[in-house]
Amino acid sequence: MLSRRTFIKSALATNVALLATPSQALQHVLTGSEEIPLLVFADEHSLNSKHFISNVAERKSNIDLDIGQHFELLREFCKESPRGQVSGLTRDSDFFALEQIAKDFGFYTQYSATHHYSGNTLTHEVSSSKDSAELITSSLKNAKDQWPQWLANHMRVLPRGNSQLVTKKTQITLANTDQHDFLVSWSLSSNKHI
Amino acid sequence: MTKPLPQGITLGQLNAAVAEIEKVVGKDYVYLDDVKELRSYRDPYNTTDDADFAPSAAVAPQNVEQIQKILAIVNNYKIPVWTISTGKNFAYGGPAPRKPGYIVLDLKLMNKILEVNEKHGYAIVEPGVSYYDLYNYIQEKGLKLWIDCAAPAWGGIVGNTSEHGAGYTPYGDHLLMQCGMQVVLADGTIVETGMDTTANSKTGGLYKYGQGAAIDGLFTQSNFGVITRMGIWLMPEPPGYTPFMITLENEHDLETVTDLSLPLRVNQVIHNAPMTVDLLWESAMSVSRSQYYTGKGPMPDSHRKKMAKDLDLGIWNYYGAVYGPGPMMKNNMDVIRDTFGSIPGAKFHYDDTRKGDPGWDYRVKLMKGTPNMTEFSLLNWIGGGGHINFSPISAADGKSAMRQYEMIRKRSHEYGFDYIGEFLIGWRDQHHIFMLMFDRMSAEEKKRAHDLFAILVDDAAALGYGEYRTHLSFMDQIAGTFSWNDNALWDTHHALKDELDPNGILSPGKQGIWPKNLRGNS
Ligand SMILES: Cc1cc2nc3c(=O)[nH]c(=O)nc-3n(C[C@H](O)[C@H](O)[C@H](O)COP(=O)(O)OP(=O)(O)OC[C@H]3O[C@@H](n4cnc5c(N)ncnc54)[C@H](O)[C@@H]3O)c2cc1C
Repeated sequence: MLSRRTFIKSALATNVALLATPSQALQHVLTGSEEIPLLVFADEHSLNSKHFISNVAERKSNIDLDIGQHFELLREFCKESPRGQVSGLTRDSDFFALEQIAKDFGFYTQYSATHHYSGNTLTHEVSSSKDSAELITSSLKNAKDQWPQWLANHMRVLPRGNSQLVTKKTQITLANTDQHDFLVSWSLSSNKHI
Repeated sequence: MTKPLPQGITLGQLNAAVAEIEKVVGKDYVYLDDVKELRSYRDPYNTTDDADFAPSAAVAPQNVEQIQKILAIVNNYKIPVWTISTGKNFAYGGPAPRKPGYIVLDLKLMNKILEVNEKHGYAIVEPGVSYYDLYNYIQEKGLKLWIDCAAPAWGGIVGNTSEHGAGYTPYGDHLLMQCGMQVVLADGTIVETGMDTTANSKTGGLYKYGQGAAIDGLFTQSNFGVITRMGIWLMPEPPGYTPFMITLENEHDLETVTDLSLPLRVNQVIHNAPMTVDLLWESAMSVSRSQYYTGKGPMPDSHRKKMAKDLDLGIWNYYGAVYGPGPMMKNNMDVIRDTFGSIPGAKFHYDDTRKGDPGWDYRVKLMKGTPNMTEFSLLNWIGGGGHINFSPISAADGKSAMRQYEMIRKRSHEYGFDYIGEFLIGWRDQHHIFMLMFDRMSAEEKKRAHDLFAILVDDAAALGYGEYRTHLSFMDQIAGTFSWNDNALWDTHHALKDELDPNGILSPGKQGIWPKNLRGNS
């Protein structure tokens, strides 16, 4: 079975578009990493975020305006699952706050990306490990307006580990969108347990 | 990545000191990884280069003895430490140190609530105790006490009070409510202030001043010691609470509402610090800027007016509350309604009509000390929002308020930023908070925000205004504006610094107070 890391590397080497479709290899990876406990947050006010969370099967939490109400859940999770992963598609301010809380448990950002609608343009800016940033950026682009679903399906293959982050950006034009969302997708895990 | 080092210190010296510190606290409580661990001791809202405030390491001691040992080690190597308690000082520098290479002394693990006295209404806490912690403790024990918290409740009593922070109940002036502290000096001496200096003291949480000079204030917004314990007065839960909001239609209503407020505030008709909040601050709780305006520069008036109408908000929005038995609240509310009802277009709002509105809901929580984090939503006004607060003090006087507002708005528009701000009437003054919000992903915008802030400091000083607190980047500049009589005050700070911390190891540069070896370099 492919490990998550091997998968990212091999996908990069072969076909970047691979991740945008539910390929056979991806299924392998998903099964391969299923033991990692995952907690997922989503902003309940944004349509994209709702779309995202509806595709997530794991333990999840919808965030309203007061991010403070979710601190206890996050703390419990980090305490109970030091090898776990916390991910989300949220407002920027919510990511900011959750990231600060998680750091007390040794959980740090291994991946984050902003998703910004302006006029007909959707911009994804990905900050991730060197071997995955390009791959994720292209996959988000290929997923077009289904990018929240792509993210939901790939939460478990997002990078973990202690590597320097690099930034990649892509823009796509979408027809008939009147969205103003500025969302951030992100993933935190503990580098001590990789 | 090269390790940031304090001025004059080699990597070898730093490593040697860190190895000794690890022996004191254990390796798990020393953070060295620049990429992961230390990134969380940076300030994401900084307007300059990230490296300007990058620590070399962080250490989390668990008790006073460990602090004493750490201070002995860094004294030996002359390596500066930067003390934080809960470390959430965002808008003013977050957990980051004043200069690169300092070791962050993070007191988060010293988080015991040592005493809560219901009868006399006080708590004694360690530095790592957050507002949430104290609130939860009080709830669990069913005590009839309220806390008073800063808008983001993840900060804590010691850190916030150290910064002269403010909250929204009648106990909102935190330093005024502080009673007694324990401090570790740079040489490891432990000092108690106030009544706790007497043997078997029974009154440490009751009377602030003790005997002799009251020195508690010396350890706030300064670098003369490490506060390891603090007493704070807590408000007894009142029999009733009536929050209210008044929407005001015109820009110049700020003048009238401020003038009308002062007598009500100083005579305790309004019990807490009333707030006059501008339209954008209020709107940002529920909408984003791009929903109303996608152009560059400040939002035009026509768009602002449309937003005000849609959201049923004023150009200014005034919040306050009264507390106590029903008849007393009714009496006070009658006076308040009569007073502000005289402003043309003023509209009163209460829970029955406003509940469910995000701006109202979180203010109602804050004015009764219910911890929350809702105000962070403001940062979504623009995508990737970061901010630093420009916080001048004005008189609680209409003309002064207008003068400050117009000065800041004009400058912020000139630099292409929205004015987002609020006034908070303290006991005689107003804290004016201008939330200078920028896209923290944009280097150009950060630079512009930085330049604007610097010019505002000078503009305010020219009009006779100083700031109550500031971001790391502007501490020296602002210290320079408190310069009366040939810098007599800062000379006094420096004399104390040299006496209490001759090696300059405690938070050098905090609020513009530098040890001898670093003065003139800043
Ligand atoms: C959206 C937003 C809203 C805000 N609203 C408010 C508000 O309503 N009121 C308000 O006051 N602030 C507000 N702030 C600013 C800030 O977030 C709070 O003041 C916060 O409480 C400060 O962080 P802290 O309590 O964790 O203190 P810390 O970060 O732990 O400490 C702050 C500073 O105090 C000094 N210090 C800390 N501990 C010690 C010690 N043990 N010994 C000696 N010196 C010490 C250090 O210089 C340190 O940098 C707001 C910020 C944001 C982003």
